[in-house]
Amino acid sequence: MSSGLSGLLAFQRALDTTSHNIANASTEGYVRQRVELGTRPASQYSNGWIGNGVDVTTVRRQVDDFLVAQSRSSGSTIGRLDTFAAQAERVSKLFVDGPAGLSGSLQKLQNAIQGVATEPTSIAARQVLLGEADGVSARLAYIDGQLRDLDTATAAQVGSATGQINALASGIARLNKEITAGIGSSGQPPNDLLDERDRLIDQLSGKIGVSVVPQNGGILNVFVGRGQALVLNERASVLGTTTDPYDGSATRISLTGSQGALDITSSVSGGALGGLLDFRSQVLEPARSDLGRLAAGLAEAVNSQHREGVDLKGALGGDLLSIGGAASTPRGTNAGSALLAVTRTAASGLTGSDYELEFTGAAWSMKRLDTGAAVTLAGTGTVADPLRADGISMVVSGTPVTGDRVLVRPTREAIAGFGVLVSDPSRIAAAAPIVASAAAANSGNATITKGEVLDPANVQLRSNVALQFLTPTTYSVNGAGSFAYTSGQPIDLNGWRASITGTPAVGDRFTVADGSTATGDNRNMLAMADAIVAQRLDGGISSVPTALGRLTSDIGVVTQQAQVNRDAQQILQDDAVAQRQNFSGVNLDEEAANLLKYQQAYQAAAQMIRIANEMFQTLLDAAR
Amino acid sequence: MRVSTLSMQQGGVANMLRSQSELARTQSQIATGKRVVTAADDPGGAVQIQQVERALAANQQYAANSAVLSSRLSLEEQALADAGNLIGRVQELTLQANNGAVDLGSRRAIAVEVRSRAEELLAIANRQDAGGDYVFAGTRAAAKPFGRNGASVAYAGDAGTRLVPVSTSQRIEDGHSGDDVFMNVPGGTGSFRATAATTNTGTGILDPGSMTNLAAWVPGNYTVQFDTASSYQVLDASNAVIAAGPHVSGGSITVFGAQIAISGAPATGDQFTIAPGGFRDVFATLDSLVSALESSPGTAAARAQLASNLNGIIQQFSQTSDHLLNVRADVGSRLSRLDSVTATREDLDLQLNTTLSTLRDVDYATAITKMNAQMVSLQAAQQSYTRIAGLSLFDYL
Repeated sequence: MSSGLSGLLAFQRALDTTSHNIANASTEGYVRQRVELGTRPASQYSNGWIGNGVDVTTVRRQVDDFLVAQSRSSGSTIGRLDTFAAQAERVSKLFVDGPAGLSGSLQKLQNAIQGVATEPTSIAARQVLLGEADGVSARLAYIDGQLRDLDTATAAQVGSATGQINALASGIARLNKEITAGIGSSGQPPNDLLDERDRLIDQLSGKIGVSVVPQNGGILNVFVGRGQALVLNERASVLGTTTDPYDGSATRISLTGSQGALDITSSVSGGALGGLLDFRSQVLEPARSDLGRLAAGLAEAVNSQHREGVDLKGALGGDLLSIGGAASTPRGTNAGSALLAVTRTAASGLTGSDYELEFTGAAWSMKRLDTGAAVTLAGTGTVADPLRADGISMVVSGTPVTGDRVLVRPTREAIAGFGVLVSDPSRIAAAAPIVASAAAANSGNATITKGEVLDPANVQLRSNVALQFLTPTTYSVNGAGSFAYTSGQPIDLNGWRASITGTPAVGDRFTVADGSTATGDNRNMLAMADAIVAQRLDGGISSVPTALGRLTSDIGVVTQQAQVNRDAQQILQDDAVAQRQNFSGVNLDEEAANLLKYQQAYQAAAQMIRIANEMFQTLLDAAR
Repeated sequence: MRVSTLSMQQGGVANMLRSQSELARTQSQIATGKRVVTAADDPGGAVQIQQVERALAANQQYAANSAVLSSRLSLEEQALADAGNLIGRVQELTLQANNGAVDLGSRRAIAVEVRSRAEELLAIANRQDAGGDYVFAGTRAAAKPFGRNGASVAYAGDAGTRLVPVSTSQRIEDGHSGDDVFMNVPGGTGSFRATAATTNTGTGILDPGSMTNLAAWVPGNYTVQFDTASSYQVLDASNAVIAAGPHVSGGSITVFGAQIAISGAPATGDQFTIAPGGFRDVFATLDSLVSALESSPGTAAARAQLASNLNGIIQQFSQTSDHLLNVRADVGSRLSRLDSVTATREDLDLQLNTTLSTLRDVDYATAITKMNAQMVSLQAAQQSYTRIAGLSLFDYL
């Protein structure tokens, strides 16, 4: 009788559990439960052990810890790759958009320079040149602005991700407490709370890479980074964003627990937060610095050539383009007062990386931040002998204390100051300042080149100079002196260079004269068209357009890799989730079969009670 | 293997979503016609596309430059042709005037025409292009290059010329300076120039001759002096006698390859000089023609002087015609070089466009085949999903 009753009760529990499974068949994160049955302790009789029926020993979640860990780790990888790829795609789109893109704008500028070279007296052609220079400036500003916006948006996303992580962490800590309490009173696992906690940890692993370590009493401890505790027992640490010690803008990640705040920026890996941090350090910041480097190269090419020419009004050209300076920031915690005044000296030396300088007590040491490699510094840091490395020079002011650090960003802010300085088209210096020519009456066959400018700052540059041959191998300058002549040898004088080739006759004259009235001269524009595509970056091996091509392909490759990795990881992730789901999820057909099974068992147990009842009645009837 | 109902459903949906996203990508490629939209689609290709697009844009500019260059050279050629015709006409007039039968009145009438032709030539030399730039001012494009400065015409331009970029590797000069065209015309035969001394008293008429042996020519000043009416001596710059001979009217006298002839009867002491050609400006030649035509020779010696003078001027005009033709030939060769550069550029354009299309554009056959395959797989996923999801044991309970 009591055996039958125990069966009835047990199968009722089994049917309850089956119906709970069916009801939660579509609940995300629900783990199917099974009633585990065990035989009651048998009673010993002289003729043997007689069974006492069945007991429900526990209701168990069908969970495989390995599959859970696998799906979490792949979840945090996909979280990282998905975020990284989505952000990188946005950057990638900025770099290929046909003729409206930066490459197209550069070519239009180049074309406009040739247009002025073809028609140097045309104000319209000069206006086009100024317009196209504005176009390049606008395009650079647009891309830089978009990158800055992405930086701001990334910072905001980092903030919201840390908020979500904190909410999840405190949820997990609370559940740890409830689960301990739940186990404590009955010794039985509170299955649905365990499901809830797993669901929160799953979500957390999508936000940040975690490692989960179980502890006695059903507690799960969650660690992030290199073993920093996010959830320990019933207490959650707080993840927060802090400002960068250098510029106060970039967001760093700190974890505030019982040990105080800890900077874990460099050790965060995986999850959306890891993806955002990686995107910022691997794509966004290098792209901005490299774009600044291109702009610096372009400005150097255009300006140095423009300074060598004269405009329609006969004045020497100044800078055509403006560009933002190099930035340096002392670390906020420096004990000393040293500041560095940084200037870019040669675009060919610029690397596009940022640097950190540290005062070692006697001298400064310099480190590239992208590779971590040490950079050899020349100079002492005085005005007369500035610190020099990688195309920049730095003058130290104030007094450094050992251990003080300064961050140097040679090109990051260059585009912010990029613009066109000339607004009057007649101020474009298309002509060369000097005209070299041979006198018509010369009877020798010697010819002179048109002359090029070596030093536009030379005050004598545009003074008229007459070279007259005293003998076929010597010449005088403005009637004075006697200088040896070698055919083809360049003659450098007053900041210009010209060369005479051939055999001059005695008395032959060559003049180098002021070219400021030669408004139809285009030599400086031709030189500028060459200067733009000259290989002046990367130590003289790439031009501005090829460097832009490389930047485009670098970003494209990073984005493409992220996409490919994401797509591959998505398949792994789907697989891991499916395996876990297949193990732990509800199969309705199985539940239907269980329903039949438990129903039949229940009916049988009920029949047992009826039979016991009948037996009892038989006994009663017999006694009556 | 055990399969949970939820994962079966999720798996089916995920497969359909994936197929749909692939289909959408293929469809967008077909709709835009482009295979590479962002650098990530094909990083190497994206850079090549940038390069090809730049090359195409550069070619557009080269085409524009070539058009400007071609119009400038054509303008210059037209001016040179006009100047050549003008010189031809003046040469004709000079031949007409260089005839003893022509009287002073007719010569003066011819002088009037020559004077107006000289003004016309000045106008040709001061021609401007559509933009107002002077064609023959060198690089001093804003200054009027030729102007009368007292008796003579002075050049106010410079000797500069402009190079116009017509391809990545070629730059063609877009003109000649006025100095080279009108001022620096080789004098005489080009290598030497013979003149009769104005103090001559005989009736010897100089034929300024030609260079018969350039290799033998030693540039220098030489004087043919008649020591008697029937014999001459050739003196060099230091008055040393380097040759001598009897005078035969119309017979040639050769000095280091420079051959002249003197017809008529020179008087004792008459001198004829042979000097290096140097340069003569065309306006000065025209002016000297006018003053020669307007002179009224009273004596036989003065008439012989005029005839010698006109002979020299005729020689100088033929030299000028040759010079203008040479410049025109130079312009012509530049135009023909421009034509060949243009043809090359057009070929290159076609080739670049083909490359660009290969790099960037969708191959429709491949894309449409791919889309069909993707559609079939999506349809199959949808159909199998609805069939499988419809199966349940509960239907039979």
